[in-house]
Amino acid sequence: MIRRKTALKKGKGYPFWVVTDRDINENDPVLIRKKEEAIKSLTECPLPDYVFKRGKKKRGKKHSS
Amino acid sequence: MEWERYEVSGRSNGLIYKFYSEGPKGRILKRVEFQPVPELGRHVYNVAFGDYNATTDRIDDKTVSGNGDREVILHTVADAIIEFMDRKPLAIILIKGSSGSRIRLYQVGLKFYWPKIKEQYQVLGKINNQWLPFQMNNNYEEFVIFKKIG
Repeated sequence: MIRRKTALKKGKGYPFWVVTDRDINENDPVLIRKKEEAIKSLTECPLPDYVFKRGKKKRGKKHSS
Repeated sequence: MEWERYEVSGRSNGLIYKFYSEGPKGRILKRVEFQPVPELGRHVYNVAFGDYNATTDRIDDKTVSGNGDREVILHTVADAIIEFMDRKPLAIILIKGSSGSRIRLYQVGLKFYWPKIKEQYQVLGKINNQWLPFQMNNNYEEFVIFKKIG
């Protein structure tokens, strides 16, 4: 049975599993085209800096005791 | 909220998700692939989605299957994206359709999911060469989605 209903909630049976035996085919013309399009798009119109800075620890000034 | 979607399996460090579309045209293998784009940043991934040809090991992102299950597929792809970001919270996901109709389809999907995802995720849409926060009534050329982090 392929179809099933699940709640979109973590821990409630996401129907995914992961194995590590195969890589993306980087020679796939569709992937090559999409990558080129993405690079062109974000080079011409870069994302705001904060998008890349998420999760980075802020460096504060060290306080002398 | 609950809806019908297809069961999905992920492969290759979780970069590839596959599932079968079922309907009048038969059982069609679909793939969602998260292609790293290190040229744009360490955590940037491009989403590629389409029919998968196992013989050529290639995706066809232009074919319309005609299995009458567009919404189920849309939900399944959205699930894959959300699951991927749950595993890789720093991921920045680029979503661009292969055609105008695919982009509109993704936009419909985002609208559907918006009440559910807006608390945890941020979506930017590209419009007139500017990245702006997603709004339901605008039409965008492409999207970026990422998890909100402190």
